[in-house]
Amino acid sequence: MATSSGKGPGRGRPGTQQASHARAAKAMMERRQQQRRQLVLAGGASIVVIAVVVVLVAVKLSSSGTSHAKTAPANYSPVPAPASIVSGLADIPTSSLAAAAKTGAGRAPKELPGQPPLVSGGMPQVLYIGAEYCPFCAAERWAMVTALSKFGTFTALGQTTSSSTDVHPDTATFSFYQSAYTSRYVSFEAVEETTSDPSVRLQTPTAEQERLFKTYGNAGGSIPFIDLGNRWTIVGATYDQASLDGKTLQQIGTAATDSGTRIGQGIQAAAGLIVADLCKLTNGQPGDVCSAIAT
Amino acid sequence: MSEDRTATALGLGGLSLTLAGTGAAAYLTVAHYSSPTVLACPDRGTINCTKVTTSSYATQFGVPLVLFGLAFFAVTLLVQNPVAWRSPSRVIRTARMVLAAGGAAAALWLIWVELFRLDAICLWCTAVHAVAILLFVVTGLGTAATSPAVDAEATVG
Repeated sequence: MATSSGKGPGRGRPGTQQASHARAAKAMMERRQQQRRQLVLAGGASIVVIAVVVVLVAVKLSSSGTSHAKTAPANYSPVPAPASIVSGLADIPTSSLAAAAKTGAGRAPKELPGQPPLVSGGMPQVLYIGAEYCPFCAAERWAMVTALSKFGTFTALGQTTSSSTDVHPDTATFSFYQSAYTSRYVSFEAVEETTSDPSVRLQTPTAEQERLFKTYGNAGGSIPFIDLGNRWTIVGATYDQASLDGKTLQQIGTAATDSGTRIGQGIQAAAGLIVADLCKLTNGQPGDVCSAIAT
Repeated sequence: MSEDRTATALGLGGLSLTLAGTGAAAYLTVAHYSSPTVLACPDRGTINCTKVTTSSYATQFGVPLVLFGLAFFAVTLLVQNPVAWRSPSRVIRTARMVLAAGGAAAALWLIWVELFRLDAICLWCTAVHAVAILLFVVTGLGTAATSPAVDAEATVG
C-alpha cells in the first residue's frame, strides 16, 4: 500500500517525482477498487433486503390466494338471538337512554351539514355497513339495536361473535344478516360484508351504498359505517368497547339494561345519542320517545 | 468538490426520508395515545391498521413500538443530514450504517409479523418500513460512494 512517508511530494529529482506520481496513481487505483468493492457489497445487501421483502409478500400471496373471496354457503344463517335479549334492549326506558347520553360515556354521531337527505319509502334512511368479524361493529350493533328499537321492531336478529383473531376477540353480538326491521318512522338497511371469518363474504354493498360509504366514511374506509339520513355518520364504536370483552351475549344483554353497569352506561349512552339524532330526522316522531329523549 | 456535492445530496435525501419516517411514526404515536380508529386506514380486511396497532406485537418490553420508531428516527436525524454526510468521521459513518441496518432489520421483522402472524397490513406502518429500507439502501450505497481516501496524502501530486 502506498504511503506518504519518506520524501515530500512535488519537488525533487525527476526520478523521485515519477515515483511519487506512480504511488499516487496506485493509491488512487486502490481507492477506486476499494470503493467498487464497497459499492458491490452495499448494492448486494440492498438487493438482499428488497428480495426478502418480495419473497415474504410472494409467499403470503401464494399461501392465501386460494382462501380469498370465499362466499358463505347458501344455507348460512346466524343462530337466532334470544328474543328476551332483543326485547330487553327495546324495553330500556328512553329516559334512561337520555340520562346516559349526558354522561359522556358515548361519542355523538358526526354531523354532515348541507348534504342531500337519505330517504327510502318516504322515511329517513339509516344505512349500516359492517361485518360480523369486525369487533367495532360488534360493539356498535348493541347500541343500534337499542336505538332503532325505539322507532320500530327487529325480527330474526342473529347472534354471532367478532373474529377470534382480531382485537377484542370473540365479542358477543347480534348479526343483521337476514334480519328484518319494520318501522313507521325510519327505514333501515344493513350490509354484513363477511361472516366472523373475514375471508368469507356474506353481502356486498350496492353501488349507491358504496358511494355513500366512500363519500361520507372516514378516509381510511373503516367499518362500521353508519349513515343516519345523510345528516350524521358514525364510524367505529362509539362507547367503551373493552367493557364487552370476555362477556357472553346473555351477560351483555343483561348488563345493557342496567345503566349502573359499565356496559349499560356505554350502550345506553351511545343509543341515546343515536335516538336524539333520529328524532330530528323524524320530526319528533314517535312523540313519546322523542319527548323523553329531549328532556 | 464533486464528492462534497454527493455527500450533500445524500444528506438531503437521508434527511427527507428521515423526516418522512418521523412524520409517519409521530402520526402512529398520536393514534396510539388517542384512539387507534383515528388512523386514516381501512379496517375492512387485509388492510387493517387497527388490528396491527392494537396487537400484542405493538408493545415490546412494555414499551409501545411506536415510541421505538419515533426514537429511531430522532436519533437517525443526527446522522442523516448534509453536515453529517460531509463529515469524514468514522464514528458518524459507522453509527449511520449501524442505525440503517438496524432499521431495515426491524422493518423486515415487522413485515413478517404483519403478513404471517397478524394477517393484516397497516398502511402507515408499511410507510415506516419502506422508509427504513430505503434509508438502508441510500446509506449503504452512499457510504460506499463517499468512502474517504485510503491514503489521502499520497494522492497529492
